[in-house]
Amino acid sequence: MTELDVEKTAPPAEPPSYPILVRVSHWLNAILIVALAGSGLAIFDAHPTLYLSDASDPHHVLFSVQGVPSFLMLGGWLEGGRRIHFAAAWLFAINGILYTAWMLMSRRKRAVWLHSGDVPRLGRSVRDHLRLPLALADEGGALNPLQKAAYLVVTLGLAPLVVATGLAMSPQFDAAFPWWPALLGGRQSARTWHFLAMVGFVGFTLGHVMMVELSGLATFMRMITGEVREEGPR
Amino acid sequence: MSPLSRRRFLSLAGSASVALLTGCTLDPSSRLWGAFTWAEGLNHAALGLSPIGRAPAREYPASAISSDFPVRSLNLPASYATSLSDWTLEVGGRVARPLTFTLDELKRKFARVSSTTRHDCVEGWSAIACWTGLRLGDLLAEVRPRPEVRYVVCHAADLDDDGTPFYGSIGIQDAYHPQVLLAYEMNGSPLSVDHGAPLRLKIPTQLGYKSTKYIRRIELVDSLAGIGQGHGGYWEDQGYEWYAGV
Repeated sequence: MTELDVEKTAPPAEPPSYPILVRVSHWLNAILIVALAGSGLAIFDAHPTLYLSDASDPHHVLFSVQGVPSFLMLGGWLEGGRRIHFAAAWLFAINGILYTAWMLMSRRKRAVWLHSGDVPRLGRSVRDHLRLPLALADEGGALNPLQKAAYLVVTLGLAPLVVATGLAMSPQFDAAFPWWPALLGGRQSARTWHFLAMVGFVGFTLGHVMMVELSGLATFMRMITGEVREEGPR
Repeated sequence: MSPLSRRRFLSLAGSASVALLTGCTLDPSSRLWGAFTWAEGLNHAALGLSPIGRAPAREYPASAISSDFPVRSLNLPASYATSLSDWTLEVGGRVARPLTFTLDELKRKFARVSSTTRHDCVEGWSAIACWTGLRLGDLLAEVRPRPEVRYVVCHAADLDDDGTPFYGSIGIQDAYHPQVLLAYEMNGSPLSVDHGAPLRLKIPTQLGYKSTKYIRRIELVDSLAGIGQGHGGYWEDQGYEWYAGV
């Protein structure tokens, strides 16, 4: 055999498997985000108006709805929502801290989070995702730049923001750190940003689930088993 | 099953489970109630019992006072407003000197303090008002609670549709916080019936339902058991958190 033939027949490099921490953290998040959004909507339903102000100012209403459809609410009423929401919020924060800490210490972070080498390819990655029909390059199990950017924004941006805007609604927290709700435009503004952060999570989740669906069962199974399997019949 | 329909099944099953869950109501009668109540303890430890719990709520200038302050009360007895001229405040329980005061006596005997703070309702809205009255701590110093006292219970005059009276409680440590008031004025005028006449509690570092209105009796106790359903307040007996810092 010539050297050229050896290159052609060499198998592609295997992408690293997903560690168990990543997979557990991921699925825990999937459950928690649904619980937080549903219970959050039950809480929101008690006063379904959002303001951009400190106290509730009728001259600064962002939007107001009659109520939330009951199939979207988790917990059934305000306090049912609150109990689920605070339990899920603690688990979400702990899960997020553990995952982020592990990822920051891991040598794998370049595989998941956006780094300088990805930035030149980011524009083309965005365009590739917007083109229909969708025709994304097979990256052999590696994440494309838009994926990495999305995960970075959600993990280090949206998640801490949703927790911090939640804390800004606490009268006890506000007493100790009054500069934080003030920075957000007031306690009612914090409630609005918290709601919009939830909308961001819903948008991310829908896009993410859609992309997993389009990528095939092997991609989905990789977040369960950790391994990339041979692409089977779709 | 082919991979395609297996995937369809999984996503349908997932959506169905979520839809089923949203039909469920979680309340103290639910089997799973206890699976969620631990979070209150963590909130209390992180916010109430930590140094964060000692911080006073932000004080606002008069210009920030809300023009609209929603009213939330249960039902008052008939002709409550006309009965106010006979109102007295009983202060008792585990104290060295149980006392009774008229409104005039409260105004004369204790320092008059004003505090303009934001009221955060558990429903989600907020309103700013100026509250004037006496410090709860000054009243407690007068009656001298016994060392075993852990809670200050405020019994109110309003009742729900079943005749269950409203009441609330706060921890004895919080009660001595200089910002915790027994208010008899709101925004410079005597407290209206809507807002809790003649006397209401104001503890701005916790949600509004802890600031009991229509107070007629204050009781200092070592345990919340035996009062109402034993959870430390009317709303707490319905399932709301006793620690309402968040």
